Amino acid sequence: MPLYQPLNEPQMTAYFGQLFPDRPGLRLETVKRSYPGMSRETWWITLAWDAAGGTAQEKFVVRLDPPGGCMSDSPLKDESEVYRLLHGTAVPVPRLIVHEDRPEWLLEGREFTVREWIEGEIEPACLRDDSEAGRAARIAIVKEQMDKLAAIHALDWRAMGFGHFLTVPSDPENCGREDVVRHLDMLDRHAQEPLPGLREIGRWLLENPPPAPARIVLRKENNGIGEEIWRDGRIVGMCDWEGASLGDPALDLAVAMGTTARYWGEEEALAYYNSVAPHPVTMEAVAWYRRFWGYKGACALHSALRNYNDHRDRRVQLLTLGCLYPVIVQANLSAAAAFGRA
Amino acid sequence: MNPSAQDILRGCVENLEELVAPELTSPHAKSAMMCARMLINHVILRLEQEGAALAADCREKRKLLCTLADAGEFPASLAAEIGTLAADPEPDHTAIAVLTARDDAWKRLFEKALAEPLSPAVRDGLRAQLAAQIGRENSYCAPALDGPMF
Repeated sequence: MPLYQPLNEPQMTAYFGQLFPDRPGLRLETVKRSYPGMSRETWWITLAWDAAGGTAQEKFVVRLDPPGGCMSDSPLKDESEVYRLLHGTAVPVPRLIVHEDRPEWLLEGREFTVREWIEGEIEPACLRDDSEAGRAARIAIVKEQMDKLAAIHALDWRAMGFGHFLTVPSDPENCGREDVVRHLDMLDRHAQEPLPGLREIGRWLLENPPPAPARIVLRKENNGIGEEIWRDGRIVGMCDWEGASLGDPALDLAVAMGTTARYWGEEEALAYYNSVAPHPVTMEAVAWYRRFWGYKGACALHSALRNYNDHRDRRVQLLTLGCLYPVIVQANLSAAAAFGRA
Repeated sequence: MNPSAQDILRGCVENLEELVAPELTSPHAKSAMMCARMLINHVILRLEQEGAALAADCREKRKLLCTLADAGEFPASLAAEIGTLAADPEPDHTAIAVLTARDDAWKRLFEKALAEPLSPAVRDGLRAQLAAQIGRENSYCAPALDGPMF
């Protein structure tokens, strides 16, 4: 299995040609892969075609699994469905143009999606200004992230159809426990060696669940700086929905604490979220989900080593994450659980 | 741990050969890359063979020098030095792969034991041992992650 698979440009040109038959002389003007794109590949493509008086252009984003398969259990089709369902809601997402799974168009056997390109930046420029004068702009960025998380959490996910393809927790009381159990099941299926420490940390999380949320919500999971498209201090596109799930909104806040809230303050960010969200989240729940987030990452990254050991994905980044991160997380969480103080 | 140390290094060589080497243009960089690749391959072989080779060499040298010293072939001072060194037994060598398989077997039994309904004291005792295991493993993982990956 190759470590790097260039996009099949002749095939993509033909593909876009049948997608836009009214664009004569259609060609791929630029093809660039985003970095690092560990879990899924994202390609930025500029199409050009002959138009009256010159050349017309349009940019697109193509997303597909790496040649060795996705690191997670979540199929690309589910991520595509999230984009489709969210478009037009209060949650800004790029428009899904197509999820392509017809055999004749697969890229080396891989399904792919095409979605619209949104102009913007991954990291708002004001975050690079750490002066006191720039503080108000930095706080506004954190508030914007909290506003958008609150918008996600306010959605009626059941009526929108998310329950048809995302796992639905049995009730709010069990959200946290079922999150842990899902990852213990992942270890049952994919663990590459016996992991009594990681499993016992899971048991400890089960013994000490978080307070129940007011309701089950749609969660983005991966969120914050680096995951969204920003323009003029506003989020204009929320991207990377492969981890989308249903459960306790505190998980999204836990993730945001590590990526965005540091530009203001965790207490302040949570207080702001609670002032705009439909239901409050406690810092106790956020603290539990911060530990769970580490635990989840350890289970998922270790499980991803199956692709390495099967010789399907030999990227050194996968190896570095899968070999080192789970051990470091176990050290941190076993200390938090006071395993060594018997 | 799985993948093994050797297979981690093999993956590094594959990445160097397929992704890094074609991008290099400077002759110095190409040379450094080729040397790094050869040295990693050398380390793979050493991981696999060096422990057993060293243990065999110690055993052979000990046997030969002790036999010759006992036969009076060396001056007394040299024979005394040989005697001093030979007073300690040679350390046994066990291949990492053998130790890994053995440790995995114990870890599997730990998993089974922890799945049982245990008294708090017994569970605490098992958890304390896990903390020790994780601490040892972390001592060769955490220091390695000493900078950004991306």
